[in-house]
Amino acid sequence: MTIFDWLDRLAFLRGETAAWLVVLTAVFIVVVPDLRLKLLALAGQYFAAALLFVDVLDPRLAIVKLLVGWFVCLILYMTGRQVNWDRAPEDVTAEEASRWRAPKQVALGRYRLPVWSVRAVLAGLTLLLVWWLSRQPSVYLPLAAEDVAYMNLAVYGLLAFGLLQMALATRPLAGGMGIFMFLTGFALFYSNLDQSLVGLALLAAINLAMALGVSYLAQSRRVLIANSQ
Amino acid sequence: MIDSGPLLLIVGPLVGAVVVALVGALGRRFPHVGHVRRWMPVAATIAALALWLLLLLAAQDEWAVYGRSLLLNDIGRALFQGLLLLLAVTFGLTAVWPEESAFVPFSLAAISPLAAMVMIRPYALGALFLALAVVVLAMAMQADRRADTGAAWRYLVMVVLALPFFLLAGWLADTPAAFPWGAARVLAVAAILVLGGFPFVMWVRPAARQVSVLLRPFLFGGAQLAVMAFLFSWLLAIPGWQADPGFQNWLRWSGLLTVLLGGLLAAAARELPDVLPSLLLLDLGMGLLTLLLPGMAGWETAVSVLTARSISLLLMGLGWLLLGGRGEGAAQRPWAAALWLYGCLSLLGLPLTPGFAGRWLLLSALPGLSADTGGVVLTGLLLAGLAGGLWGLGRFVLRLREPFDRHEDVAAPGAD
Repeated sequence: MTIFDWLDRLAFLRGETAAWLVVLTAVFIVVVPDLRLKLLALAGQYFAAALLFVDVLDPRLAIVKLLVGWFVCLILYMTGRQVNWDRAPEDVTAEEASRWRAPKQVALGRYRLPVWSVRAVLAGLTLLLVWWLSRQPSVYLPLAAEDVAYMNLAVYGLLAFGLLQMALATRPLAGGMGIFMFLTGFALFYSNLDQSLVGLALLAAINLAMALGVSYLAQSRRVLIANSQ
Repeated sequence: MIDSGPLLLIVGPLVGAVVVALVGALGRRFPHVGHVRRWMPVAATIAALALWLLLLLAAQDEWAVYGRSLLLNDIGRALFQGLLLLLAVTFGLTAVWPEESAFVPFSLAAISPLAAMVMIRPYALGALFLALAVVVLAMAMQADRRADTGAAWRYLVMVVLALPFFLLAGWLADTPAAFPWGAARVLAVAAILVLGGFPFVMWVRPAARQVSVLLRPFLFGGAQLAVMAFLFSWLLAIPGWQADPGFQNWLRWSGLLTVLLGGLLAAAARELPDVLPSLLLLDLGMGLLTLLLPGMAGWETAVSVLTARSISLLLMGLGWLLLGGRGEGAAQRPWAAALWLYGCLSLLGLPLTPGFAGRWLLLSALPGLSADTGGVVLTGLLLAGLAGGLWGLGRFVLRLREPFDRHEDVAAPGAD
């Protein structure tokens, strides 16, 4: 079975459906606290994004993008296992464990709100903004053809939720997923402008290098906290 | 092929870094052998000097890879000879203080993507190598597992954010009518992001406080100079960009606000460790302003400012290490404290210090940039920022002269 046969089979997922899949996985990554579920969503997002890349790139190059994305997920998965998904080791006291735990509440003036609710509200607002922006012809992406207008939704969604995740995350692994969403969003946009092999190869190299950087920082953080006990 | 400068700069540092890391691993494997902790720094010093010598002898200036050319021009050659010398000196110092040597293989490896960034054509592709370089530099910042991961993380994020702006600037250079913004303004935003200009300064102060004192000259001096070379190569190739009013305004405001913020934070600092990052912030703002100066004059000023920054940070680091890594040593080793203080004054750009030449070049050129009084006002505000830095430093230096039992609350100079 060739790539083109697969694409025919997946025709029902392509176009606007893929764009919404990308955005919904981005919302999921921002809102859900569990790193393993986030990573699963990121892998799914790379799949949906690859279906969008097919609309602007040669399908064989789009597959390379998908493979690079999944390789990034693999690196993050291995790092996640090595740092025990940012959970505290079992042999620490309650006080020491508090250093590993992400804050569960956010102080807003005299109110204390659960972190997940703040994230959900921010994600909802961002989703509304992205949806509104993607329907404004005045801010359509340059060189995007009329028949791929849904690309605006995917690109704006990935960039906005990537930034949101980078801003909200307190740990390298979770924040790194923001970086990868942002990079995928930009790559979707930039593939429209420049389809040179060198540019594509370098963007892939950056994704892999960033995965290594994020993993290194996640490991460092664990060692730092462990040493401080 | 063997005497190709670009090939040497791309492959040489990577091979050197692997060898140096292996020597370090060997040292850890046999901890009982005498002077084993110095093996890695010594190997790194030799590698940096060997690369410097080979670069001096390399005759070929161009290397074509997959249809793209890597061009080592005079600016690039001089720049990387300087960077390799800086690294050789730094690595030599880590042989004396081996506990500071964890960053060594990473900083050597960073030369490779930095060189590719400066040499590759078209220029926009250089941004991709900049991102690779910053990944390696982030690892160097964390190598000794002492600094909080926040600073390295923010640096990484800033470069990820700058990447689209660089690539867009490259695309807009070919299709100027596609966006309402000009390419020059997009490049200005990218420059502010990667050079730590206001409002993207959040990674600078924690990094300046926490990373190894011997990494700071390369991180804030050498690597930033390579970024400047990348930006100036672009600006020299398209001279119209520097004349763009948006480019001028955005960089001017960002540079000015960075200098004022640095001066203000230095003057308001309550502990000495807060003064040093503020002085650095002040100097970063000055570095950003060199992008306003047209043509080769701007590049030469940037070289002067950033070379002086490397020297200043090196002197400060050396002084700090000679003090034994704690301020209490100031009374017992006044010459070490003097070395550290001289580095601080040089970072401020005071006369009779290495930093003065660059500061003078910049401050004397800025008033001529605009016909009205704007340039003079800008220079005045920059001097006010410098005065804030001097005030902040002076307060703590006067307190350091007192016997230590009277000011135990004063933190150590350069302390992490």
